[in-house]
Amino acid sequence: MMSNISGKPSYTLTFDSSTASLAVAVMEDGRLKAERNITAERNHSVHLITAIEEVLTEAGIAKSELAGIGTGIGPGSYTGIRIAVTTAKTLAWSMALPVAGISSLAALGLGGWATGTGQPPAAFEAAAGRRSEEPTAAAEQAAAGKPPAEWIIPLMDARRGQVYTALFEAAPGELPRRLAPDGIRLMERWVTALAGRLEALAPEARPSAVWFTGETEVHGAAAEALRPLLGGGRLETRPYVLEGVWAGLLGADRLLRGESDEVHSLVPNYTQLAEAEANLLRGV
Amino acid sequence: MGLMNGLDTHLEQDSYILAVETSCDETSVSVVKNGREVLSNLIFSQIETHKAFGGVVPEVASRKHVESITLMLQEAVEQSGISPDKLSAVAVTQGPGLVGALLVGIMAAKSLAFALDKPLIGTHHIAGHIYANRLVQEISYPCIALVVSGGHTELVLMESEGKFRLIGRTRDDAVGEAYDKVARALGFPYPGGPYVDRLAHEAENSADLPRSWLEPDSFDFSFSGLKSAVLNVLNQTKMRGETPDIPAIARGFQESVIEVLVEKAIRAMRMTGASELLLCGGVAANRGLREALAERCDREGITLRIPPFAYCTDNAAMIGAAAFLKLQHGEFAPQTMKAEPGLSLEEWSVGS
Repeated sequence: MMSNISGKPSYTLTFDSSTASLAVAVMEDGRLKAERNITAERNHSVHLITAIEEVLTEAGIAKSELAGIGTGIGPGSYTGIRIAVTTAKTLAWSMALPVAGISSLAALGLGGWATGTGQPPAAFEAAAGRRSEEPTAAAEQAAAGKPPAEWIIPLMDARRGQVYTALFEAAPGELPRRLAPDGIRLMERWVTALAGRLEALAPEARPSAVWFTGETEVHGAAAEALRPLLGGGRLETRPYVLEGVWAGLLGADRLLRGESDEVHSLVPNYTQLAEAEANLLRGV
Repeated sequence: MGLMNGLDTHLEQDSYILAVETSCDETSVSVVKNGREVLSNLIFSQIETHKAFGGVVPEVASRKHVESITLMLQEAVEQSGISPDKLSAVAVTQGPGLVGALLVGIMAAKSLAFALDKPLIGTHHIAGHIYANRLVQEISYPCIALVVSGGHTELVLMESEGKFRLIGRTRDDAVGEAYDKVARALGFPYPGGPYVDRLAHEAENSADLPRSWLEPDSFDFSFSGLKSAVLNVLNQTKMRGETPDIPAIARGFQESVIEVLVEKAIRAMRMTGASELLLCGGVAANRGLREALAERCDREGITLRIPPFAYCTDNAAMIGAAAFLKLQHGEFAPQTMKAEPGLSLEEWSVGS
């Protein structure tokens, strides 16, 4: 339905408000047309619609030309993810467009890793929307006899020693492939679990680099424990603030592949119960 | 325009406002014609969810709003029979309320207004409760509104349409909040107000509890002292090894609350020479309050208006009714509108 095989460009709008950065992008297929990144104040409800109006104007695209809406569904700030998800659902419903939720951690990880490795968004243009037909990074690398892919571990501080995090792998030019689900984890235990994963791999099958990115200021030091397990591989810790284009690439990727979510049932991925719900279950 | 007196802007065509209300634990969407005719008024109450917690949990309420919001929009539009492009504006409760809950409605309303190229109207929740009356009949001015709900206890003077002056408010607990807290102390599940009301009616005795009048000329309210007095009676009885007379305490509490509410409302009517008294908000369902106020107004020759119960509790139709005032005056909100948990009613007045 949305394939660019028809020769007509597919314009998609994607936004994310899960972190301190309000990130908005409008894409033409896998190419960025315009983006806004607002980090000045954490009041995303105030700026989201005007930021959308601005990117559409800058891209020269009428909202009626949009072919789909992408949104970060978290994890992250509860209020923040509700702002983006509610906006995406309502836009999609009222404009009769498909809506695709994307992991805010995947966007953060992609952006941090791509920036850290010096890959511009254009390097991923061809990958958006086609990924599923191609061999995975690991398989491709192994077949080519090249070093294994790199690991990407996005971090968002979730207080009390916890992080929202996940694990991805990717080779240059490739959109990350998920190895572990989004979740809230104690950083200390997460590093131990990652060390276990590394130890389970033969030294030559271990990733050529491990990237911790996102809110690394608080938790980056804990990552050092992985360094001895990487052999010749690099351990990189790179603070990164989400930018719209990376969310835009992931939104476009799903929408271009014809994937979407049911609009009424789309909800944020909080990764945990509300505190009151958890207490109720525990009988507190 | 200006056919009537040249001052007011009377809309020549029918107007249709789609209104959204998510300030607490009800998700509601409505389509209201000309500020008076309810074409649809969908209400999804989360009360069953929050019962388990013994009260409204803001984070849970916010999560529930996101789950149902677009389905509510769709059903409200379908039931109204009005196609979205015919809407005149999109209205939403801007405050007061729980900020996280308000934000869901606000983002839905902003997105819809943007998608349809319609103006946005930020609406005051209490103005909604008051203008719920207009869904039933025209309001005569000047009037006094006694707003009583789980989150509010206010006496509002309206000299003319859309002009609000707050003459009294609670300094601590809202009436509904006091009811729920006392009900909990008496051993009733949340929301306990209706249990207290029913028990008060059945009680043979009445516990002697204080009335909080505050300063002689004040129209403000205070219910926390009364709540403490209830707890004291309970504790003292238990310390004496006796069984507390729960119905008598319920009746004593209800009598104290109602006496103060009725007396202050009547005094406000006399002082301002208002032509009618409007009882609004969820606690307007309280039978004891309705009866006492009706009886007293009858005796005093005061016209009392109480909207049907469906328009007393939180609903979006009342938001559409209040938003109509702003539509008439062309007072729209920008897309940068904020949720305002402490939005001022007076400042929300039209033409201010």
